[in-house]
Amino acid sequence: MEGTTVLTEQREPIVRAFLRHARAIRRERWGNLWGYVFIAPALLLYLTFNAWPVVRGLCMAFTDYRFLIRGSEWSFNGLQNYHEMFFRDRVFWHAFAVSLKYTMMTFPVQLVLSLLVALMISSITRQGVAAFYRIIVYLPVVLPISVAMLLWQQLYHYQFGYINYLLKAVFHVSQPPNWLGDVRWALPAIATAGVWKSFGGDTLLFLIGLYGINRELYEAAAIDGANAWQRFWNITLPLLRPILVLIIALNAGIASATQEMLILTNGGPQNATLTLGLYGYQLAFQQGDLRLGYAASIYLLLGVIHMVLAGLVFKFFRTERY
Amino acid sequence: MTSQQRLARVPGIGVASQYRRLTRRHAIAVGALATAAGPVLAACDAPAAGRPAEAPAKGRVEVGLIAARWVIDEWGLPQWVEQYNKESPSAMIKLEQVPDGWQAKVLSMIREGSLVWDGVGIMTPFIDKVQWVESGMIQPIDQYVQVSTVDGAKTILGDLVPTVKQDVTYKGQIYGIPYSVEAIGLMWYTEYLGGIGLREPPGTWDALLDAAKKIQIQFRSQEVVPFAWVPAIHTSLQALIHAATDKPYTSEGLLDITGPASMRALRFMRSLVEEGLTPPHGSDGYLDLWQRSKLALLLAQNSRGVWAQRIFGPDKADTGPVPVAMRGGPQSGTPFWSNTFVVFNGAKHPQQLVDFYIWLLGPKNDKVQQAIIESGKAPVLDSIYKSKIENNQRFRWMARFRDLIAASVPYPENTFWSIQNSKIMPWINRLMEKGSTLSLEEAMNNALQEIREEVAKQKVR
Repeated sequence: MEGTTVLTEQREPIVRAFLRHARAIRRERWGNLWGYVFIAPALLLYLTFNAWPVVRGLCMAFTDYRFLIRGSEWSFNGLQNYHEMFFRDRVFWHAFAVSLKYTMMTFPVQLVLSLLVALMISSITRQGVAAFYRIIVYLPVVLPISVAMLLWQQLYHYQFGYINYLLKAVFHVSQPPNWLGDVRWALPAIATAGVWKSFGGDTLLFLIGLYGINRELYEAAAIDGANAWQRFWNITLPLLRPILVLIIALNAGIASATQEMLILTNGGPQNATLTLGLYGYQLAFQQGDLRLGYAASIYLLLGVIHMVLAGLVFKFFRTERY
Repeated sequence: MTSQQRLARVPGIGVASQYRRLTRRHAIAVGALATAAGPVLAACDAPAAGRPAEAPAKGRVEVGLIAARWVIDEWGLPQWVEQYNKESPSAMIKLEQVPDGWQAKVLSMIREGSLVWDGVGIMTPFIDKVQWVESGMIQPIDQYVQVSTVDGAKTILGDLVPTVKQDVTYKGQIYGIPYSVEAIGLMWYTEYLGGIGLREPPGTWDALLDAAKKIQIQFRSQEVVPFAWVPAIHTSLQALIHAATDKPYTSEGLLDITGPASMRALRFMRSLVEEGLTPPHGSDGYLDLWQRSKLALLLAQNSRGVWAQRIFGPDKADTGPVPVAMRGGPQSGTPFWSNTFVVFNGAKHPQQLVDFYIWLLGPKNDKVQQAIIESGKAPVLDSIYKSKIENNQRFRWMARFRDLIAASVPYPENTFWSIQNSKIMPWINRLMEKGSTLSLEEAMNNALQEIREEVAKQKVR
């Protein structure tokens, strides 16, 4: 017994040291455990309402889940959805082309317009006036999309719309375009409404970048004889690069535009405004068996396209941190 | 000005000092205020539509009913719920507006056995019926009606206009109690028809074409468009096919778009467009035109006529049947559908809900039927047509529709309508381009091929 006590006494400092060491390692690696307890509720909410839907959607994209077929939620069908999409679904390719066209129409315009407006607002020296313009530019962003699009629907009406009224009364155009009813005009018309609705957000981001540029750089350049264009090209644009990258990455989502078309034309006329987003919506919530699995695979493809685009943007426009 | 005040005006420093003034104490105060304001605001919230303020009395069960906003508002549903709750000894109806994405919510609750509502209004049978039954969302109500002791329970199903009853029937069972029926018809402004000397609407396609031409000449200076249809198949081609044949659907359960009646209807539609008697494509911007009374005649669901009456007065607009291709020729009525209340599968109190439906929509509840008629919706019970419509000058059009609906061929029982609508409308739009050289046959054959391709992918048939 005595021998055992001696052994225990000898071991105690070793055990204590070990525990102390383990605690130190744990604290070093994991930090204070109470922190985990405090973030647990938020984490739980995130996992339930953000992470799980993503995982569920991902799984759904490889199933033949049809809302009307009971028990089809987890009926995995491998890559069949993608085989159908690429080789047997003509509407998919049509909608893909429309989405691409829409992106080509809106993205460059939105980028240039928001940069231009941001430059103009940033050049205003009176703070109150600048704030007024910032609010004006940002207002369409906070307007609910349904309200904004119904407003444009009124503007575009071929007989009573203000646009055609103006064309007829002021410019004496006898046959003004049927903006939303004509195959040639419907997509550009929606693109215009879409740009109006969202360019304010990009403008604000550009403004943040512009306000962060040191004025002394411009003064120095002016002293060196640089004109306005040279100052923009050699100072403003390079320093706006991080913001530019962010805006390009954020705008990759334009390709999946759905709501504008749903409200203004529902894909018409003659499917001229049927984007992939809208096609997926129709398949999932309106037509036949309500093929949620197939629609999810379309949305997954859109997601992959967005990720690739964002990845390319970050790769080729990477900037150093200032 | 003190040095501190001067410092505060310096850009940057001034702002920083403002931030400094916001202490943690301020943040805690704001948080406490917000927390206190939450319950106060929640308490100020008006009770949901028709929601009873008190809990159900002992022995009474609470029955959950969700309904679309327009159903709640259109004929005063909350007040009828309130009255029922006062009278009923066994149930208390809790009425709520349908939440966003309610179908997915209901279905998942049913599958988990945790359903909180008992039923919903409204089912539109030609779009929803098969989907809702096959997905297991709703259950048949025949058994509940049979054992119900509510006044009118024994007669309500037999009193339904026969085709309306068929509309809510699937595989031999009845899936709801309809409260009104809508059908495709011709609506017109009396001023324009009167302006060309017509007291009655055109009854045939030829007469319609003739009237449209006269209206165009007579009201050209007012920029009145003579005729338009609503851009969907049931409000255009499908309605005209019904008016030209007694067999509007094929054995596949599809609209017969390649048959002679369809070709004739499309030729008629095209001639209207080519003569400039319609807005572009026959329908572009029709709603604005109609609501501003710049459209003389409209092919649409019959409630659009009542909309016009509400805007301009009851004598300014009227409603009638779709003109037929040829007087005395074959026809199959018109596309129609009922607005139906249904019971969810797994409902806790299906019997009590069906009892409420019978009390609300049965032949004995005169006041509700009157409210439904006043809202512009045609009733579904034959007895109501006899007691309330036949001698009512303002709503006599409903009597004409009753007969038309009774003689109509109902939609086939499948889920293909939305597919057909999405495939046929783009081709109709192409055909209705002014100067289009596309042949009717080619357009409809292409549409049919696309429909068949999509239908082949469906499992529920």
